[in-house]
Amino acid sequence: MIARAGAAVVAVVAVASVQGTLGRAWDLLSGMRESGAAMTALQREHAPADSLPLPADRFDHYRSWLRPDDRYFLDVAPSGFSSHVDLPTAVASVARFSLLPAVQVTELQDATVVLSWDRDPGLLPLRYTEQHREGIQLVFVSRIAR
Amino acid sequence: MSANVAAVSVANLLILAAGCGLLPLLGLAGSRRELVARLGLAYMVGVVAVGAVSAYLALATGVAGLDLGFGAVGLFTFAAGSLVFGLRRLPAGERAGRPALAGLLALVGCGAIVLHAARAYAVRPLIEYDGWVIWATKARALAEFGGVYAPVFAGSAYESIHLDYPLLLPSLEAVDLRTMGGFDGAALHLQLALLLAGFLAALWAIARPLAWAPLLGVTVLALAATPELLYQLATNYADVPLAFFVGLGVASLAAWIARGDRAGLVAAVVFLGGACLTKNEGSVFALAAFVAAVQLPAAGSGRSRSRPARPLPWRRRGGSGWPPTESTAGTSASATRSIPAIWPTPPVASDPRAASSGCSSRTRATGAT
Repeated sequence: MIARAGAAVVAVVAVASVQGTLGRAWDLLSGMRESGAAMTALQREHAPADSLPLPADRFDHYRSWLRPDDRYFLDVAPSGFSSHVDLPTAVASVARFSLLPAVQVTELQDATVVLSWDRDPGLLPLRYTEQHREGIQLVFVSRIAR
Repeated sequence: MSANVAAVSVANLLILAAGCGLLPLLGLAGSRRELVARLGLAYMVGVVAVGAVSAYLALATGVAGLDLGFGAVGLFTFAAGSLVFGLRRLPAGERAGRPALAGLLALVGCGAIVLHAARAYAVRPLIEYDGWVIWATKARALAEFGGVYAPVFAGSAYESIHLDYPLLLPSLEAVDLRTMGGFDGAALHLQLALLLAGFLAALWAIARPLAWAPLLGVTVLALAATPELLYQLATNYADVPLAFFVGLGVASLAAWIARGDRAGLVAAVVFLGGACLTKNEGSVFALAAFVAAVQLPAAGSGRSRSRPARPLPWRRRGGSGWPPTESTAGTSASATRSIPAIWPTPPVASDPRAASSGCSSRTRATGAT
């Protein structure tokens, strides 16, 4: 008797739940589909950086000059960014994800490349074999001379 | 359908095939009829097995510095081996059972939602923070390096991606990425929609022998149609996959307790093991589930009817709780009825009342004193 009453309660709750949520679930997925399908492949690739938001073109610039076995050091000016991350943390997060298989390091002496974010790489006590600047911004890929 | 979506689909068909072969190998199906009845379990069993093998292979090859990641070839070999060795164990000639009509109706309803979710997920970019900062970064690293590469998985720059978390989900996604041959964060979401399909199918397979099919069907449909579940799953966080494994593990434990079916216990170990390998919290959930399971009274259960139970050691002295106290010493009928069934003892239930209440005559005698 108790089992049947319990089953009846479950059935009522389940039917009410389906009735109440099926339409919303369907609309949620439809909206997700429409917004995703409207994006280009490049926009989807840039989505993590854009969601913060950070300019994704800078990471494209870094990636185009990095080699798969590179160890890169991020030179980012200490600055606030949002309510829960500062700028170096935000840039490092996107870089870790989007610049693989190049690997991020925290010590300059472990790096083969310095990636500058609004910083002049010439201020670091290093010599470089090559440098690639993005336009006229202080965004550089600088390969360290060893 | 893009090439990457097709690659993820092929990888998951191989995972399903691996799961089908593993059902007989793990003792989850002893005949072709049972295999058909429990086919819903196959995909999620395959997910746990492939994810675990891939994760441990990644750890082993990472230590050896090799690039032997689990890709299409490894997955095909694993699936073919499981199928060949698994299906050979099943007796030949037995007619396979047919799924119930209610099951088919529920399948159609859930299938429509899952298909809609798969179409939506397959074009969805990685947006939510932890989805790409933690899980997709790990999956990408595993796919790129073919194993646990120390400068990433032990590097100080990567401490914030929760290096202490286990690797089942990233390993599973790395299998997809290696099958794709590159990184596509949108196509990766298809894996999550397939996990939803696998969860619903497995839940059906576990609960169907215990529940009226229409009731179970509408319950499963209610789960599939939960907007928050569908949204959270699309974030590529591991929380919903963890919940799937925990839910299936607990349901399997319930089936084991209710029916005394060894397959339920095996399935519980597989799924709760999967939970442990998905997030650290999974270990706590698994421990809690097993502790709760052994504490449950077995009154009215299939296990207690077939095998009279032995109480927990601290309850043998007649107490109904922990710590044992004089006041809780089992002197009343209600106290003795709450003595739990834990593990099998030689059959001693000559007293039908003892058998039906799930208590062994030994525990009854103890309670009476």
